[in-house]
Amino acid sequence: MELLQGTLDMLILKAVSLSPLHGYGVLLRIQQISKDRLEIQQGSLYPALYRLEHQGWIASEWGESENKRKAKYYRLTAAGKRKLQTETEKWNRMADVIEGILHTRPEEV
Amino acid sequence: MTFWSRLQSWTRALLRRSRIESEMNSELRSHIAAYAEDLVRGGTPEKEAIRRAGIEFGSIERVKEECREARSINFVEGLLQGLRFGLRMLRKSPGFTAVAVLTLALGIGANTAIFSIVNALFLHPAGVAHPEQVVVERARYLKIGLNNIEVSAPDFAQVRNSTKIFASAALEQKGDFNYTAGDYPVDLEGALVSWEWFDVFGAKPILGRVFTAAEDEPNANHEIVLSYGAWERWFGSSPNAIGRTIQLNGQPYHIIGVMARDFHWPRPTTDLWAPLGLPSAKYSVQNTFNEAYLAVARLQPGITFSEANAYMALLSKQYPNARVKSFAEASEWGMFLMPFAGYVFGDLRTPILILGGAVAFVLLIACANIAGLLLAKAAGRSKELAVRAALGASRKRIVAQALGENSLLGILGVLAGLLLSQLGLHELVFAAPKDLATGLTFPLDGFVLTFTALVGIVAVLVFGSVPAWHMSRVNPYDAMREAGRSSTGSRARQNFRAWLVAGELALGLVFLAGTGVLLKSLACTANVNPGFNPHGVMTAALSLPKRQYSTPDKQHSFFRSVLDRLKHAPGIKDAGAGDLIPFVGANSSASFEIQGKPSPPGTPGPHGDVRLVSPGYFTALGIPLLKGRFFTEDDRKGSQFVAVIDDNLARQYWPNENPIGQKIRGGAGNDWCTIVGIVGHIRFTTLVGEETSSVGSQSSTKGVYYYPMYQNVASAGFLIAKSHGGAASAETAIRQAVRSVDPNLPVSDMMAMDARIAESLGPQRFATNLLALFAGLAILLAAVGLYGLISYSVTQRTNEFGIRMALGARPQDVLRLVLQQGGRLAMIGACVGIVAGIILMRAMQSVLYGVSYADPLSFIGAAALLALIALVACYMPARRAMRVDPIVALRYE
Repeated sequence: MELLQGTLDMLILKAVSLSPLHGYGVLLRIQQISKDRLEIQQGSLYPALYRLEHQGWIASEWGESENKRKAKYYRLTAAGKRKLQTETEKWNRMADVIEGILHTRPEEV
Repeated sequence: MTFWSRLQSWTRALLRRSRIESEMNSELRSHIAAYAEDLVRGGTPEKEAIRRAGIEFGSIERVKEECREARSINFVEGLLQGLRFGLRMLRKSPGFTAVAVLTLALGIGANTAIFSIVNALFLHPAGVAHPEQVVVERARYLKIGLNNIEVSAPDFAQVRNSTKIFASAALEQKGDFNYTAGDYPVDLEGALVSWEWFDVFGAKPILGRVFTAAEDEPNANHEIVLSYGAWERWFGSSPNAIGRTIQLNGQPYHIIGVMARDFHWPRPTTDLWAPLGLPSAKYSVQNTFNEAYLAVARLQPGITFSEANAYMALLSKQYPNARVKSFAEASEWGMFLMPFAGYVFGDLRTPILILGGAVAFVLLIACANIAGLLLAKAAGRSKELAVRAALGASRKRIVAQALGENSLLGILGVLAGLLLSQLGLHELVFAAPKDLATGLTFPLDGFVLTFTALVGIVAVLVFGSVPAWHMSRVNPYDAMREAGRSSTGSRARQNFRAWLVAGELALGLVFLAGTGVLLKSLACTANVNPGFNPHGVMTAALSLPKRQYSTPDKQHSFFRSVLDRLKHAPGIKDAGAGDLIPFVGANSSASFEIQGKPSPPGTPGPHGDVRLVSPGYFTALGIPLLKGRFFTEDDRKGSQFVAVIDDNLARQYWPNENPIGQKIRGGAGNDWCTIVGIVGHIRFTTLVGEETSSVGSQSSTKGVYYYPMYQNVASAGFLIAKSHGGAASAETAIRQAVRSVDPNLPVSDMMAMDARIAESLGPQRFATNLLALFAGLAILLAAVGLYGLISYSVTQRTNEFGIRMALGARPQDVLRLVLQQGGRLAMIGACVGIVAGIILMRAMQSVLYGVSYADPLSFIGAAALLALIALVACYMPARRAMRVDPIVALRYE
């Protein structure tokens, strides 16, 4: 399934909110929790990470990965936490509205 | 997203570019490697896994570029590139750089200079903490035309007792102190203050302490606080001065403190402060209308000026008794407050605001010109930009580069402007009339620096945005197809620039011609015959202490012996004395009566300027005798009371008869005095125009009557010594003559009469200098504007010139073509400038003397100068046009 426009940022924030991750780890985590139902362009991940870091929602530091490789780990900042919360609420409201619309039957109009 | 995190991100991008690049690289590569490993683990052969990982990731360079964009590294990069490129460009064209930086420096420097003045005068008066909280209490009687005068002790007491409104308050009265320091006694200017004076200004001594309440009691011990200047001059900046006792006015005074260099209030010339010690009786209601003091106060924190002023209006309506009430209401009396800075510098506010507007305008023109210059440069670069845009440089990045290039110019301009403003301020202060410049310093403080930086940023944005916008709008397709011709600004834009330049030229001509007219007027004024001969005349002031010279007899014998010695001093031709002399800025006038001609009741009666003079006054100043005789040594106490009048008075009150032998009374003493001589009228306060007097300005044909000094009180006055040689040689003679009669008496205000007259022209000279300065600025800016415009158009027309030359046009023809374009603008500018200049000068007619407002020489000279400058400004780009190689020009097409 293709990713909806503009939802990648939210997914990244959610992924790193569970535990700090490196770039590839973010990709794996999203695939894992979506049970491989979402398809993410690998190249589009990094500009999104850099943008989120530039905006101060995630922060990065260098560490060691599972297979003994130097890797850059991203974690959620306090501002990012708030951002994730508002984005989640916004998404839920939006989903409710869309759902309501899509389930509308002719007699309800 | 916070501003802070962005800023951090930007600075990181700026400072650690190479590290970020390498980190980005290794991060992306490790991603691909990790993915490949996972694929291998899933059973893919290693080679195939690496290939697939690379393909699925996509173009690593594109991802990197997107990452850079995401972190705004590109913008920073563009700025840096712009800076580097700008530096190269500026180095490559030093002529352009010099012109642009100089133009910008003039604009920024002029603004900084004016702001420094505003800063020092209004925003941060020297030595005063939180000046906005300091107010001056004033009184007024609207019914009798007194709108703004000092206050009485009871007025002040009301303020001092309103502690909810005022945190502190103090009172001041001027006092002079005679002090013998070296060879000659000196006259120190003192301020008698109530003890809280320094608290009101928030001023602390740099040495010792200030007064206590107990020291401000009547007949308390004598304490003084020295000003920094006095401490330096008379006590050699010695810390041991504290605790010393010195003799002032023959009484011992104890030095307790020294104030900082920048604190000199109430006057810039204050030498020392002493306690006022006002007895409590002075504060009684009887003295409500006896105004004699300067009162200052500091507002309580949180109280605004208008609140305090409203409170004063209420206080003014609360009368302590019926007498006060009736007089106050009849004369419309009231108390009010003025901001301290407004009180001290009030009359300077308007001219400085006008000046501020003028320099802001100058900066705007400077920016417009630089924008023009940059446009001319950018026009030649449109192809380069088109290529870059076609290769994918974002608009943002191109704008960043343009800004980078321009900020370099801005930084250079700010630095040069700061330098220029410091030099200019120095000159300006020296050119200013003396009373305006005394004691003023213009510190280059944080406020001034901040202001200059802000002006620089605004300037860069103003002049930089035009070329940046122009550069970012380049359409790669059109630009490359038409080989750079598509970016010729629209016809309307070109026209607008041409009008702007014509306007600048017109303004330049107005200022140039105005300067010429004012210079001529100044020269004519300086040549005016004042009615006496000032050359070789030295003058000095002195004041006889009342204690020692208690009777007129003692005063007369002092003046007699001083003048006698002076007259016989070597090199001195003549000597005299008078209560007032010409060109000291003071004047005095009084009504008088003519015997046998009583004035009808209800009319003001005869009026004239009055002087008390010694016999030598007329001869030493070279005032001509028209009829009768001068005063002699025999016109003394006990002999017949006499008077001398000038021809103006004679004409006014005895038009058809001989005034000699007539008697007048008034102005000084109460006896009838016989007129014994008529002398020529002399100029007294100004060389031309209305004379000034204590009440305001007065007609220059007002008559004068003189009484003998030796038949009147003579407690203070001026000595006049006419020498055979230069005036300076008389200085020692005057000092020695006074010292040999009274060694403790200080002589002050020693000045040659020629210098006094020159000083009276100070304001005119200042105005002329200022206008000359603006004329120079305006003409320089106009030249730069014209140069920018012509050189832009030459670049645009390179192809055209190439074709013309290929068809047989000679270089001279091309030169003529370019000069014609500039000449047309100069012509329009000159015509508009001449008309505008004549209108402006006509409005200024009242301050001109001896020259027509449409002085042909000034206007023709200004027009010629303008034409010359325009020619030079056009010739430089025109030479470039002449050198166009038709082959090259056409091949570029």
